[in-house]
Amino acid sequence: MSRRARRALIAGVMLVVVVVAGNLLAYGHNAQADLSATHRFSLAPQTKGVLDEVKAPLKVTAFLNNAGATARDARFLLARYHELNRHISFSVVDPDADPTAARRYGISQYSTVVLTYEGRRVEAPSVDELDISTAILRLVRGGAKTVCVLTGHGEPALDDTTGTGLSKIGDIFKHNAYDVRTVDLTVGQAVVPTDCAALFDFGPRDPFGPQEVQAINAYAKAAGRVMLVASSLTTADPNPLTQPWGVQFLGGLVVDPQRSDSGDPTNVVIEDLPSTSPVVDGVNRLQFPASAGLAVSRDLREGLTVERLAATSGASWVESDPDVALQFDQNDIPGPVVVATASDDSHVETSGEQRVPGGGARIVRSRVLITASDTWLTNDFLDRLSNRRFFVNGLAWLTQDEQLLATTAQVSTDRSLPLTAERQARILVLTVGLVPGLIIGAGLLAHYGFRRRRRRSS
Amino acid sequence: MRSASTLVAAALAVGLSVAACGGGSSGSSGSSTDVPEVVSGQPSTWTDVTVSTPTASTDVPASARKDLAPLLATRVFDHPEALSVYGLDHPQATLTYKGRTGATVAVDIGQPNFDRHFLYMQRRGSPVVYLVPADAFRPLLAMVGIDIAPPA
Repeated sequence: MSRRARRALIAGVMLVVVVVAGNLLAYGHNAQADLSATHRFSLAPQTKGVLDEVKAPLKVTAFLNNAGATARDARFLLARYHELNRHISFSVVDPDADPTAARRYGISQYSTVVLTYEGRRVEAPSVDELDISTAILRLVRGGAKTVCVLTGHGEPALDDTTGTGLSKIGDIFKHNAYDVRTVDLTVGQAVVPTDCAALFDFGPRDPFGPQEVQAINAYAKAAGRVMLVASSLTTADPNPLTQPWGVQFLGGLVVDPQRSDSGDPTNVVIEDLPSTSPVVDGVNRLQFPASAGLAVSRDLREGLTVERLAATSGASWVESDPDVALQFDQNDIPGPVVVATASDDSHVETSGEQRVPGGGARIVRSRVLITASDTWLTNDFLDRLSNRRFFVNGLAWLTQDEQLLATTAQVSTDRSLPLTAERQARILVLTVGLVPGLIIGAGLLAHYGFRRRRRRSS
Repeated sequence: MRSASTLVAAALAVGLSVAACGGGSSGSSGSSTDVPEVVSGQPSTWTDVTVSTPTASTDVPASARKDLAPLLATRVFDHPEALSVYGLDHPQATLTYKGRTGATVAVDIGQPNFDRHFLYMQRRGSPVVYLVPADAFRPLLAMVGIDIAPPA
């Protein structure tokens, strides 16, 4: 056997030894790392925020058929919770194999999850991250907050599961331990209940009455939290509600030939999110179909700040007459166009502080979130780009629950790239210009290098 | 040279096979998809089937035997907890099968499971506990005065 062959043989044997040794070493050891791009096997950052609030032993008992894959998946998921917070312990109980435990917990259905914390008990309907985190959120919060949703102006319903409905928004409220109360200010006394953690108006179609405007503004000024989702396609003028917060609703229809989806210049893709507001935290792009425009007042009163959350490209404009033609003319407003704002108004009241003996001055803080499109949060569009995340962030900002929001990883799984005209132009430059240019350039360099070497050698 | 390369390739293949087998051994130990039988046979296999309690006993009519032979279980507990957990220490009823040769098979009927869709049963003389759908047994047990509440 030649020396080379011997070397090859030794190398081969060593490779086998290494592979077998590696396998023997790995056998019985169970290490794991989540290398998926979206970390789909890890708990969502929002869940981690919720778990930070768990300061005492929290027991999770999942009642599952031990023989099924669900029990295995549940152990995997619950182990992640335990890893993040050692106060959390868990057990998976097969209620058929251990009916005594099922009776003790009063279980009557498979897949029931019982969580106990500081003497409180809640049940989760299934063993998935969203349900478990929501249940933990309920436990640490000690109860549910109430959010109020305005009706009476033709707003889409939270239980409407059609594409134009808002059932996905309803689910977000439910999963974040909010009780939803509908408020109709068009009947009876026009007063927004004071226990509303926030007031939402999702796309009013009909105009507001003066009493309603007064009631909403009075609520907002008294440290209220309001989200106003306006629409360009209705007769409801939201300006009486937006102007006290430094924002003017321009109406019209935003046209953005450079950043839009599906060849429809009114199906606007927003990539400019110029603020540092927590409402756009983790938001990459938004899709706002059929949006109107907003303008921020130049002279804001003391204590009032307005963040421009989202703006269209410089090639866009507000079309004042969309029924005629989508062509920029002198009546239109040139872009970039602001389509979402966040107003924060703080003022000092001379009395009312309850946290110190004897009272004293207190700071009253109002927050108002305004968007100029109502289509982006319908069932058809909520999961486009970062729309869902934008809403969830807005909800957290309004109710000041930044650390107490349970959402799933899917909220942050925005990995699509809409083929806007701007992006098409970049691809064209890259594929037709840059890449062939580099290849031709490299060829020419090689050619001249070869000729030079040949000349030298001759 | 050629023989050495062949040898290396063969060794590599053997090594990888060994490694693959080693890794595979940590997987499932194999499972059967067979439906477990508490009592085998057909309705015609058994000449008499009776259901009895300490105070009452009645023959199961032939028309009601199709769900009893074979008597199929949904789940099997090879290593059950104490029989009292399943109500099998004091069974509420017993199902007795009598064959043509005179041999008998007795099946004790315990309590319903947590969601009342199933009943715990045990073939007398066997340590194994079975979970059997309760639907077929409700009218049967009613014949000896036992009411099993329907699922919630």
